[in-house]
Amino acid sequence: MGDSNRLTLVASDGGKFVVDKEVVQMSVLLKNMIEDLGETDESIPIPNVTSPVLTKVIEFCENHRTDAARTDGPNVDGDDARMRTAVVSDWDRQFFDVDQDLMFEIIVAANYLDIKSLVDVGCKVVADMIKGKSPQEIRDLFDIVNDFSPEEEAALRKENEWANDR
Amino acid sequence: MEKSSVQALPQDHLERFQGLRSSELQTSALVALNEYEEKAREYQEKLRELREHYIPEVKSIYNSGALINQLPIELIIHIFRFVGPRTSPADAIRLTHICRLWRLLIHQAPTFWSDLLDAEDVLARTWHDNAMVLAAFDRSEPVTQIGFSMYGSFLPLLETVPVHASRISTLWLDAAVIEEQDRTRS
Repeated sequence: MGDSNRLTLVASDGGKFVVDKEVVQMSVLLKNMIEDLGETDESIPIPNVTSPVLTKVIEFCENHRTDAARTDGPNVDGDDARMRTAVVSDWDRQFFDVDQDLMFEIIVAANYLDIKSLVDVGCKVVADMIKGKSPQEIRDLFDIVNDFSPEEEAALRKENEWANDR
Repeated sequence: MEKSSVQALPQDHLERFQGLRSSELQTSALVALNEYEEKAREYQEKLRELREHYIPEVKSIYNSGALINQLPIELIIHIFRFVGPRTSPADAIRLTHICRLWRLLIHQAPTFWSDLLDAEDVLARTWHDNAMVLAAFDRSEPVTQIGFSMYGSFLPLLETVPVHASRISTLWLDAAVIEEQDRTRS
């Protein structure tokens, strides 16, 4: 007999995670899935997410379970409200102090699982890494090169004052 | 033909001049000259093509492998909106100067530009910004209910913005410019 308050999630590599239902329901995707399944002992496969990433996602949801009600609510005002309200705590910053690889995988997993608060915190952390940096510093940060042609560069120069001066 | 002390032309190129004199030699040299100049033009064209097209394109391919660029487009835009077209227009515009993909994605993201128009920071500051404001209005199509903040020397904009007036829901005006004008007048 399984504990009706807990569920088992199975990562793409077979890793099993027993998690409180309340925590799992922060994922809109899984919440809907649970509602469709009804009471069941069956574990839920998460085919797109590996164990290391799922570990992090669960860690985040467990830490943020108390504000689940707020982030989970109907998304009436959409993106705009999210832009204004997303807050990144010190804990969140620590949480995302990982390789870029893992950081982006967490954001993609959160997007797939539809955990808006994690998507927002992740995107805001990346945005904060970008802010205040010069174009070359931003390129170096993400391993991007300047691929504008000489002709395109000339067009950018006209906008330079806009981007730099202030 | 005399052999010069510094000889760059390969031997087989020189053979065509062997045994020629005066006008025959000069005619032959002119033909050769035209051939080389034609070749130089071809190389120049090839060089231009490499510099302006091939090299940037290969760099774009390199960039498409960057981790951030492998994110779904809506997430990339989500990140960009957090950088702050609303709170930090300079940081936001700088994003369009990083690489071709970012510029393309941002130019095609209406919400980014409606955010920019509703910036909390100074937006339409000088004449120079006028073009950017108009571009922002064009690129924010079809977003409506735009909040538009005009600061600084916004008066020239009053002639062009009305085209988009039906899409503006809130208009913020900062009258600081009038003080400036008074100052220059006195």
